[in-house]
Amino acid sequence: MNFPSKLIEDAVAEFEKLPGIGKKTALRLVLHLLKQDVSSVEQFTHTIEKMRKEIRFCKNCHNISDQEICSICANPKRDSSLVCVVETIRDVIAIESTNQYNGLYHVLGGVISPMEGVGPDDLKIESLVQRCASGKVREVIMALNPTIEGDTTIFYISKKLHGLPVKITSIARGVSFGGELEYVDDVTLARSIVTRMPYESYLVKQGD
Amino acid sequence: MYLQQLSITNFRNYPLARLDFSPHWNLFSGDNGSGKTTLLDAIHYLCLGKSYFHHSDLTSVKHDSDFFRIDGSFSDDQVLRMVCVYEAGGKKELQKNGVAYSRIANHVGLIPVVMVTPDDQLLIDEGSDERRRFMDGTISQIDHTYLENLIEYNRVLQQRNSALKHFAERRKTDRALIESYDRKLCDSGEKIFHLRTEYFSRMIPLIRQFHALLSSETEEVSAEYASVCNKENLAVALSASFEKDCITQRTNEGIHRDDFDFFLSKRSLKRFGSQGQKKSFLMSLKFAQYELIKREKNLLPLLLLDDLFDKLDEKRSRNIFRLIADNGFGQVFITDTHCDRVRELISQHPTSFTHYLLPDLKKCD
Repeated sequence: MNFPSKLIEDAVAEFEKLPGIGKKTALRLVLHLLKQDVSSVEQFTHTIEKMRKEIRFCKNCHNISDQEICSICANPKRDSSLVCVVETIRDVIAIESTNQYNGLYHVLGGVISPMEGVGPDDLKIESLVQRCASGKVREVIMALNPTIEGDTTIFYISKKLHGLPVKITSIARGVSFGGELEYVDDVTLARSIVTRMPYESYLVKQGD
Repeated sequence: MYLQQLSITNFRNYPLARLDFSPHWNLFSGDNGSGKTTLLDAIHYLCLGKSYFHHSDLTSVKHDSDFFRIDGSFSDDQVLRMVCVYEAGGKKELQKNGVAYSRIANHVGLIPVVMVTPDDQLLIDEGSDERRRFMDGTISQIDHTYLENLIEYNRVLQQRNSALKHFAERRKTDRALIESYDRKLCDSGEKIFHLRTEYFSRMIPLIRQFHALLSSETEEVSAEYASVCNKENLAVALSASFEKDCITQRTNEGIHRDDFDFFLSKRSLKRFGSQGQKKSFLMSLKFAQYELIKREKNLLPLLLLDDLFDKLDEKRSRNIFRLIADNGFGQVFITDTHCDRVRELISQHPTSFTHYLLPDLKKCD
């Protein structure tokens, strides 16, 4: 693509770096911004700059935050003895939007995958161990993706927490709500059968 | 199940070709380099979603083109249409009746296949990975859980080895991390070990049976499955080799180091076998593979015979032919440089056959 302006070309190149944006979309966005008032574009760039510069990560759970401690950790109404371990901030947002969880989080920042250069030291595992060692945590809920890397991370953390008085649980894995048995893959279905639960507790959980 | 029709586009030396087949014998004849083996490999793609010969799909794309497409119709009770498309730089897609598989591994076993080529000598002469690949290919076509476990095992193994390399780079070891991998390795590794033990033990009598039919000599065939799991618990072995693993930066124990040893009259075939003995043994091994899949799946696999009569005398060729004709084999594809030899052999058995003359794929009657 040939651009009549070097400035446009540079701007397109920057937009192209964003995920899911190709050259044509980048050009469309740049031309759109060009049509706006200078002041509104300034506001746009300023907002992004401010977001990037001022965003902080919660000292406690490593969630995104505007203060030193995030709004979830700071909320006195939440159960601080319950910690849900997740891979990324996106998982926090997903679980929060269910409105079913009232404990705190711990964002690892990834899962252990030496093939991609991610070892235990690159994740927030040590700070989780310290949180648990402080004695305030009663239960750690592992909410990692059901992959080989996720499973390994869960097992590794549970080894690190060994000896501490915390209960380690994992989110249930099985047939999705509204799904049909015949379309569920074999591995998931087999697992659902093995980890079946008593009907009574099933009813209680549903009524919550 | 048999292949009725095959169309290939931009596959190796073929820009476009369309062939239809007999449910029994199919012969491709032509000079060296005319594309006989390529046709067999195209069929192999439809059965297992990959080439028999090449690791990279890119090598199968015709020179000066950037994709290939293989399209075949199999007939059973119903017609089963398989399409395999690969675009250079893109993903390979395998479709069954117009629906793409999310994972190609899910297709393995639906259309069983056995390939026999002159390259198979590597199975005896080369290292243990060739023999493991052979057994893995056999069992995966029979039992799907085997393939799933194997994929998982290999993935965990790669992660474990990467972790060991990281330890060396950072001069710091983390035993807890390695133990996290060991647990998963043992889980899938022991399942793989049990299935290898079971199916290999079922295969040995079949190898003997075919060897007795094919070879005039009376040597006794025996075989052994060597695995760390035969000696001790995998978890114990992995744990004991932790220090060694850290030094060598790879996993020294596990079913990825298993081997299958073959013997003639109690002497190692690899070390003492003659060319002829190896050749007869390989035929017996492949026929045993065929028979095992056939029995376990209750399906007739496709039999692909590449350059079968290379280095075989006439008597032995006749024996093999009679064996195939008499033993309830299904659809057979065979390649040869001399068309007369195979045609004469086929004509002695009253079955239908198709004959294509390469390179221009002229159909002869």
